[in-house]
Amino acid sequence: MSETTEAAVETHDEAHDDHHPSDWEYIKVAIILAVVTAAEVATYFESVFTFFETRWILLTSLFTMMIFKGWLVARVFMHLKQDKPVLQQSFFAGVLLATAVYIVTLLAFNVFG
Amino acid sequence: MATATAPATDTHHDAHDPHATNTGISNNKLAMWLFLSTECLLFGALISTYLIYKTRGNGEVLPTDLFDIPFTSVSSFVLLMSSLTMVLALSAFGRNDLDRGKAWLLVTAMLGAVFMGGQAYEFTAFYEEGLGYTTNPAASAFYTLTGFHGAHVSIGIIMLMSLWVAANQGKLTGKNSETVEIVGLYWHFVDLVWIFIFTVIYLIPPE
Repeated sequence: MSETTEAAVETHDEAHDDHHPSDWEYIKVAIILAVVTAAEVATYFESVFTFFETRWILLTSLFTMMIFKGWLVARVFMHLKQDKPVLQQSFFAGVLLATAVYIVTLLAFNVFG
Repeated sequence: MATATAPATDTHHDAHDPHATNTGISNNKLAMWLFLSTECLLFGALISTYLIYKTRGNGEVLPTDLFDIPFTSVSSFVLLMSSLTMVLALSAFGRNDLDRGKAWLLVTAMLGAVFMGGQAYEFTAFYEEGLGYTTNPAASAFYTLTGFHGAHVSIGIIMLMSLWVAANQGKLTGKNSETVEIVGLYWHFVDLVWIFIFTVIYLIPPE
């Protein structure tokens, strides 16, 4: 292979050097997801539920854990961390549009009281 | 470019053909991401509909009266772990470790099947408690939302089994592992949607 071609191949490979996490890193993320899920489920039980003095604290905790789990799955398992930004932008455009549209819808129907 | 160099370059381009696009991303992968983006709107509509109708029981039993949180938590955990096995399958195919890749694909499909079995059990239990699809608006919205999600899981299982068959026939190797990645994106998205459904529909207690 000529030097020019080698250089081209190296550049091409660098551009696609995804640096995907190792299997162990995936397992660590799965353990974190399992622990957070356990924490979410714990809020269902009366003894833990009463710990949250107001409904808003409970809702904030649940939503924070839910968003954290979703973010981890998208970023690590779906490789958004390593992939090109255009993929992230395409996906989050849909997420943000859906969030905005349906929050307005729910407000219109007075779902939040 | 020297003649001797040209075939080597062609071969290289063939091997990376999916990436020979303006964006530098394969069209299939971009299409899957755009599809998943539109799916957010579909599931957003279904979740919103349930939230609007969840208290409209017309005096009949409501889905929230029948939720079995410990049971659904186990189902959720199973689906969450299927995302791990899916990504381990992709990792194995990336290393050209086909045996392990096939095994993880099969485990992922089986975990998906366990989740679907759980949903079938839940639907049956709810029906026996008097909550049919047309019992009240809350029931209709609940069954439509979780049913649509279940349909997505079922399609995912079919895709995973198709990959497993293709891998056994030698049609799927480390060279075309992008197919596994694209199916994996779909599978992780289905898991992502369930993370939201589980919290918003099941875990947030009624006022």
